[in-house]
Amino acid sequence: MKIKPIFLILYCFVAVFLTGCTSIFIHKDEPMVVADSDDALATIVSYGFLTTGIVEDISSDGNQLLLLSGSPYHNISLLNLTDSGKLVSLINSDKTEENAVFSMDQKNIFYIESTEKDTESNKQYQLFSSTLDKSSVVAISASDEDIDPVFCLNGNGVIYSYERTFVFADPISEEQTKYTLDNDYMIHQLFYDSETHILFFLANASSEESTMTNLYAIDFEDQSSSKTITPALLATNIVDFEYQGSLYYIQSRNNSRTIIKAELSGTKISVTHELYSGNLASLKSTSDSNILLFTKYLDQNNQSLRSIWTLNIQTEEAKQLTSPQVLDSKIITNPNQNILYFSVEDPPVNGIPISNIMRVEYKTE
Amino acid sequence: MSTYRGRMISYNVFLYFITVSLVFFLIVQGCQVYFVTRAKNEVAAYKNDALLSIRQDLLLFGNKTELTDAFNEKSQEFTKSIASIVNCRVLLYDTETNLLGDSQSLVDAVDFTKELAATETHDAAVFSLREINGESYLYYSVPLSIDDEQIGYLGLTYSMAEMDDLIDKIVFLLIISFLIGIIFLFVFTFAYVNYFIKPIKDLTHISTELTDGNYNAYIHYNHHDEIGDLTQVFNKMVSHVSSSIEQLTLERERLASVLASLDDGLLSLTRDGQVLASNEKIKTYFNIAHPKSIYEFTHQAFLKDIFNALRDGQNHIVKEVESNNMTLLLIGSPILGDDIAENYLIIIRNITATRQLQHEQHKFISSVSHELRTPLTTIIGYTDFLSRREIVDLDILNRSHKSIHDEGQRLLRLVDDLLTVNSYDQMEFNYHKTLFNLNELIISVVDQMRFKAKPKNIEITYQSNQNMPPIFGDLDRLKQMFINIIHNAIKYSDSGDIIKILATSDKNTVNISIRDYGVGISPEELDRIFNAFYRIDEDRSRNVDEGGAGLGLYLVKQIVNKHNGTISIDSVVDEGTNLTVSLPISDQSVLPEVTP
Repeated sequence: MKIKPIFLILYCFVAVFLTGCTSIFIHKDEPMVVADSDDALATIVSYGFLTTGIVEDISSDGNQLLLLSGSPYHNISLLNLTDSGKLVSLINSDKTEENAVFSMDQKNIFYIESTEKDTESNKQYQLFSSTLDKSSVVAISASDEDIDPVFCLNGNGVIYSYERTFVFADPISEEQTKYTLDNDYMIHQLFYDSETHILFFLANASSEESTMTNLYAIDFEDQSSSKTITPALLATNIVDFEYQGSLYYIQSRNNSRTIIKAELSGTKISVTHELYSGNLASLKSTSDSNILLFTKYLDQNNQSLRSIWTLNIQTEEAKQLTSPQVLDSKIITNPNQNILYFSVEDPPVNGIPISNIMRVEYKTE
Repeated sequence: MSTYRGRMISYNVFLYFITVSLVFFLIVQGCQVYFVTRAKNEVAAYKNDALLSIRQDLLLFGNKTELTDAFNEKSQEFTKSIASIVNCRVLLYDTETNLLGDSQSLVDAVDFTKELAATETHDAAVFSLREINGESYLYYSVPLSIDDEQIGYLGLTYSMAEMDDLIDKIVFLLIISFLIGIIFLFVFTFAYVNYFIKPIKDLTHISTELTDGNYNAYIHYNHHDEIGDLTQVFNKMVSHVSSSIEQLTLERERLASVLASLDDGLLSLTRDGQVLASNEKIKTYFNIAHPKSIYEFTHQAFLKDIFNALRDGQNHIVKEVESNNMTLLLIGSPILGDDIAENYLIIIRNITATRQLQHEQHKFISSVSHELRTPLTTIIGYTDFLSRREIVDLDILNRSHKSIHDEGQRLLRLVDDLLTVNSYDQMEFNYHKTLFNLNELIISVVDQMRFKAKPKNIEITYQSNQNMPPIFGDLDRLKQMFINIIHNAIKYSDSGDIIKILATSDKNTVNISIRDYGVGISPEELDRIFNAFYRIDEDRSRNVDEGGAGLGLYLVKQIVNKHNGTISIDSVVDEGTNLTVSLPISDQSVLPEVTP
């Protein structure tokens, strides 16, 4: 019997239609080899628990960790990373301390002390300085200054902000230089490069209707304290940034976040280059200028679980260093070794969360 | 469905079905590839998380030499902790692929046999798509190694419920869309097919009208598209065909009129004997109307003979035959053309009259010769007689002279008749019409002819209406006409007979009948009695001395015709002849009143 071609075609398409749900490209019940992805994992040399607390900073020689300790971590302690592993309490008060850092000369620490005004969400912050031997505690900011809970180092001094004012404070000479801004900024992060005299800061401008957090820069080399300063807008919708000769920042774009390397010309970005995209949370530079550390959360719905990754700036290769964990501290990098410290929150015990400071030694190659 | 509409719907449904099938196929397959690829990447990331988690926990445990033991011991805990950070069911196996831990239930363990075997074989991560209880899962297994030491295997099952759910929805929507689309397809196809096939229907309708002979029909389609081009070309074709048909019809009518006006019969034949064309003369000659084939002429074998001869290659055939008391001249010849098949033409010409005329002319010449010879012989005889003998007898001389004179007169009369006929034939005869009383003319002629009839003791009677209207005509020619008629009546009457002349009139005509009781005329001769040079058999003439040239009644006929009259003759052999002349009464046939 001669079959007309049109019926043959029809038969074929009926077959296609009827088998439409059958996977053709991916066969069921047939294991298929996946390209090996072990290269996406960084090598952990050692992984260990140090103590409980929230790690804040590390000394320039890498031998001491500054951490928030006690329950519920309101106190500032010093952990000796040498063989002794001695934990020394530096600040022990009934107030809440945070953002503790070593001064440049490693003789002092700066920290923010917060007190609740009327509600928990409405706090008042004050910047203090303390010597490591606990002999002297000095208030850097005045108690009536409603400062932002962030600051950055400037040599042996410190820079903090409140309202429309940046304050360059020297705790030794107790001199303060104040600069007035053109607008109110809700500042989240500060970094001052003493070589270029440029202050970078993340902030929401209160005049802007948008809730975007932007990255601004101010060149203080020729600034006069008597003039109102208008910061230069470097980039918008920024999550975090680091400056190490070059500017690195995480920028949100639609539903993705991207690490961007930018070269600066004064307070203007001249060249940008995208390095990596993903569910990025924070950025941290290391002593190795070729390696950046960043944290990445699992998905949009679970941003508490974050893994730590390394990013080779030259090869732009990213490798996962740790499994997703509930990070509740900054990542602190040892200035002399491929070691990093961070705090991981364990499930609460008796309703009190426990943070463990972890030490990870890794290989970068 | 055999109609254009049905085929178009079928094709559209077919194409629609193919399109929907392709779309369905591509969407479903695309979804599967997309979801599996995405799931594979996610699970690969989970795998890294799981590996790092296990590695971290084992490194926390401390001594590397005890890693495997620690792994085996803490696998169940590991699966729980890993499951808390990855969206998968987590299973851990030792290096012998024995299940160590399952994040859900060790009892309800999934079958990872194939994947673990493939992982063991390839020492690499593998994945497969599984369907468990109607739900799709991605199975993923990978070797677990710490510091290049394999301590076991990790298995992850990732639910593809999202893919299944989406595909179910797509299938449902596609089926609904397909059904709705089919309904719309039918509705719209029905609608637009009508629109598209309208010009085709018009073409069919116009073509039917063309077939019926209406070449003035046109399609009206005002769109400049392919159908528009077709209708334009079709309309041009119709116009061209119309003008061509019109021209052909005109030519055909001309040809038909030419054929009809021919005095000859005409038969145009194909090589197989079919009649291409014929005219009415064929029916006249052979009593066959509109013949279709040469073989219908069953009683005219001569036609078939000519046709056969032409078909055998003769170029020109002329043949004379007798048929139905007619003498027919048949002329056959082939019709040749560059691009047409050989046909034949047979022309049938009725030459009966010609032959009759020739016969009568021969007869006339013979008669004239004889008539001329008889008086000349007599004259020559008397002149020889008078010249060779010395005749003194005055009586003989007188009789001889009289005979010579009579014969001379007879010759003169014969020559006059011939001249008269000749002048009539040449239309040189001039009529001088006047208004006169016909009754007086007939009385005058009757008186004159009674003198002529007296020697044969023939009585001539004349009777007429009292109020005979006057006639507008040539007095002398009409007188000659009546003399000729009465002379013929006397000539063919027996001694003692009576000739009755009756003149009557009605509203339009005057009718004069001359009745004799002589020898009469046969019916065969009646048709030719008015022909020139025709003479009734001389044997039947009652007076041989009165033999003429056969021009008497011919002249009578000519004179009657010149006066727009008619002449008829009824005759029975041996019973006599009644000849009636009818002359019209014209408007001028009213005598003018003569003023005293």
